[in-house]
Amino acid sequence: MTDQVDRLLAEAQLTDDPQLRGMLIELHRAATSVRPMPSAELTSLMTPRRRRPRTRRRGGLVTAMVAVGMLGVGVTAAAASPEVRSAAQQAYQVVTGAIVSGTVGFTPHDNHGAPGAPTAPSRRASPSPHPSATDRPGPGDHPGNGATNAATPPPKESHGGASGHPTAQPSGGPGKSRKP
Amino acid sequence: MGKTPSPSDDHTLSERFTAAYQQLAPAVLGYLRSHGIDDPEATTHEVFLALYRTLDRIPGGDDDVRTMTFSIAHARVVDHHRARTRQPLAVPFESESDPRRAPSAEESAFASLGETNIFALVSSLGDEQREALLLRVVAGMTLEEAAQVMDKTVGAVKQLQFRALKTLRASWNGAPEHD
Repeated sequence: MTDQVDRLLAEAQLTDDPQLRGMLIELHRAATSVRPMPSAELTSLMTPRRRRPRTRRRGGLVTAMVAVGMLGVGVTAAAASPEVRSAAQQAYQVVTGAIVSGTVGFTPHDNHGAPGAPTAPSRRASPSPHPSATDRPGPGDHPGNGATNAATPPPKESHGGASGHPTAQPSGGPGKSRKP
Repeated sequence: MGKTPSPSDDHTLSERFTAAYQQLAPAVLGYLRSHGIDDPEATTHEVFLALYRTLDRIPGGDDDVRTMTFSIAHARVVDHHRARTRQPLAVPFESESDPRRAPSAEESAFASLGETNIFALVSSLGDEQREALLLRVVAGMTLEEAAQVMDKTVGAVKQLQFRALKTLRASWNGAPEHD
């Protein structure tokens, strides 16, 4: 509004009068300070107001339902897929192995065994503090096989029942995996 | 012409009307109050009802809607003053509301550039000077738009607003301006 007042004063060549300028700004402020409520007839002609909070709540509900659904699908897929379980276990072993190696000062030169010989089996021979669900005995397994299976070399995996177990060696291909 | 409005047309019309009311209603009310209309709120409602009937024939944007709105309000003010001339309104005399009286020392001490003061100053202007000033300052119109509403030339409106400003300044300083 000050632009309009300044333009008016410039047109009248009265730009050097701050008192008059203040008076005109005050006139605009005082005259437009009251917002009249529309009558019922005017209200009926206007666009109805949108109910924003309700829309927002509904949007939040939809988002929450989608998130829960996606989480459920992800958990189901992870639990049902041996590949996923195997990959997760391998990733876990790689990370924990690297951490433990770093802690005890392990370097590649410390490995005096055969080239590529795994170092993890000796560590995995100790009971895992976090037995996974895959350590449950299978139909053909003997009770108490979990820790043993964890250190079992790969050939035993091919006989089934162990591919889902954490192993030190990379398991065979996906084709060797036990079906859920 | 003669085209039946579709529901989408009605919706667009309602949206335009709602926007026009929200944007212009305070200025229309202030414009009517400054002109001393008896019931400015009711007249504001009448102005917008009349605007709604013509809104679908206004092709332009916000400026054209504003010009039309204040043209309607201006016509209401003219009607109001004509009616008052034909049939003077009998009201009890209240010395406090008489703009001709001199303020007391106490009132002068308390009065600043307040709402009452500025409206009293504006009401002391002549009808056309007041109209030109209100269309420019309250309605926010350009010189050309004000000239269109007042049905005068741009030069005539420019002269009116110049005199209005000089009179306002003189009134504020306490000396009457003669033009």
